[in-house]
Amino acid sequence: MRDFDPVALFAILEESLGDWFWPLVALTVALAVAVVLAAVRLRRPGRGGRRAVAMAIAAGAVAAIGFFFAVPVWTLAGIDSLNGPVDYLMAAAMALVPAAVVAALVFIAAAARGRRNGLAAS
Amino acid sequence: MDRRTFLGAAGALAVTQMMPLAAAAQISAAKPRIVIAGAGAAGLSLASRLRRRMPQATITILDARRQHFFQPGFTLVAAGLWSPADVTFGNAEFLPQGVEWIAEAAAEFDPVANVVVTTGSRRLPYDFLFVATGLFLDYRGIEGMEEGLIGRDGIASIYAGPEAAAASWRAIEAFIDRGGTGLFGRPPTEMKCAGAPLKIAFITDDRARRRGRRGAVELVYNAHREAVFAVRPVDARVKELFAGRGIAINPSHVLVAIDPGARKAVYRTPAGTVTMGYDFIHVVPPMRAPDAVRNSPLPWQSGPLAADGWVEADRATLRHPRFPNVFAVGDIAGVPRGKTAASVKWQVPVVVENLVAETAGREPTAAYNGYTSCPMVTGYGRAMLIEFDYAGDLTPSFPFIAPLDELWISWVIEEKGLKGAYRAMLRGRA
Ligand SMILES: Cc1cc2nc3c(=O)[nH]c(=O)nc-3n(C[C@H](O)[C@H](O)[C@H](O)COP(=O)(O)OP(=O)(O)OC[C@H]3O[C@@H](n4cnc5c(N)ncnc54)[C@H](O)[C@@H]3O)c2cc1C
Repeated sequence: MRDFDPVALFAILEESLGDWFWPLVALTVALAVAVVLAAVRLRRPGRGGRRAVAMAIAAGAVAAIGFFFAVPVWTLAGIDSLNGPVDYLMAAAMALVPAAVVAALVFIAAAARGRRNGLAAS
Repeated sequence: MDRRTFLGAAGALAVTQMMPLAAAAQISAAKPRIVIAGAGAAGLSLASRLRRRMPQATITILDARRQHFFQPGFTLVAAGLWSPADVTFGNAEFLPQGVEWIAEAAAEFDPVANVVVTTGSRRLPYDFLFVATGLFLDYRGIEGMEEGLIGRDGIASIYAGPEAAAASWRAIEAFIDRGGTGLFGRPPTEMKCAGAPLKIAFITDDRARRRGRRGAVELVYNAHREAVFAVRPVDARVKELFAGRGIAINPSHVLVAIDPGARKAVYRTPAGTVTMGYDFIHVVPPMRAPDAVRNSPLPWQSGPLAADGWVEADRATLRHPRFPNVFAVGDIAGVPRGKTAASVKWQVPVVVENLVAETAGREPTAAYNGYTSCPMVTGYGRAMLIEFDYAGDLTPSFPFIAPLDELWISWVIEEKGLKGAYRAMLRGRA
């Protein structure tokens, strides 16, 4: 990975995504903030923190498996195009990103439910 | 969100493939008049970098064409995966502020008087000249052939532009429908992306297989010499893959004439001329310097690169040895190899860095090593990430991607990574 340059990588991502780039950055930041807020809320006892984490991991895992098969299709190829360990690893690594988004959404939703339940109980 | 995922990985891979010197980011306060002839991959990328690094220079870029084509994408258009719109941008979109664009071609180069004359008869004096005109596709160098024939009578050619690439896709499909003999090959001249003629043979083979029609088509690759690719390990690997896929190779066959009505192609071979009938032919034209360059004092005066008018240039600095204020960048440079957009990515920072150093009173030390790259598509969804230098040594950017393995990840670089990297390169940002 000689001469790896994060500034150039940023420029390439921006060019690749075009008009989608900044909205996606904003969405990512919003998602990250929501996850942190949810985690803070769930740290209080009785709010179902463990359950939310378990649900998020389960949803993320299922999504990762699904996205693993979708990744090659998105590159206008098929799953039969994967041809060796590096391909499988890269497809898995790529599938992890949307899977992480799914996990985050489930976590946020679980936290919101936990909060409602908590409020109802109090 | 998966779009982002893919692009992240593909971009990370493409960026190192196309990554030049670590930017020294020093600036020159010099105020020279700079003329750039050609607003293609090299010209725009030069304009962007020079504008930033030499803010007080007067920079003028010449190109009569308003559209900008992402040529590496032509292969995917010819594979039926992309549309012409996917590879067509506007030049104006990439022109940095403060660079004057004259929408005329350079008609005359006078490196003795340090003047370029445009097709509109404007005289542009310069202190430094960058020749970045790309090359001329000499379809008429093949008797009976012309660009207008592409897409008719079984003739394909992905080089001529996005529409020609799309017409080539239709010709491939029609050929697979009907069956028969398909001929492929390349010219004996220097050429851009020497992998593309091989890629289109692989794509046609794979498409025929996927449609269950491989038995109906015979595919023949007429190589201009013994090798199908100049880099030895790549040559051996492609021959092995062709053998496995039943693509026959005829060595030392140079296409010299074509009779579209009779569907016959004439080849020059060591044993004399050979005529072959075809149902489909992918024509790759001889490639030469554009006339304005060829008719100027700039080309090599002797040696293998003289006949077709390639600009004489030092292979490490791309500087003209006889006219030291002239540089040749991109396809027009008379250096061995280096006729890919990925090469441009490495060449531009070298010439800019050296000019900035020189005009700021420092020693210019940057050197181009001949880096050339093209993801060799070997079928839908697979490619080999071929990268090499002047010596013909493979120079893989990633230790985990074997250059001679057919991999999906190399396809991802071609299909998802290169366009963003190319656009960032045009803006001088990657
Ligand atoms: C089918 C195909 C597949 C390819 N695949 C790959 C690939 O996979 N990877 C890769 O890295 N590269 C690939 N390339 C090669 C790559 O596109 C070229 O090497 C690259 O575009 C060269 O840049 P350039 O600026 O030298 O020339 P160009 O980008 O061709 O630009 C030259 C410009 O100069 C202008 N011009 C011409 N004459 C004059 C004149 N007299 N005055 C002023 N302007 C003039 C033209 O209008 C044009 O805009 C491929 C090319 C083709 C055709």
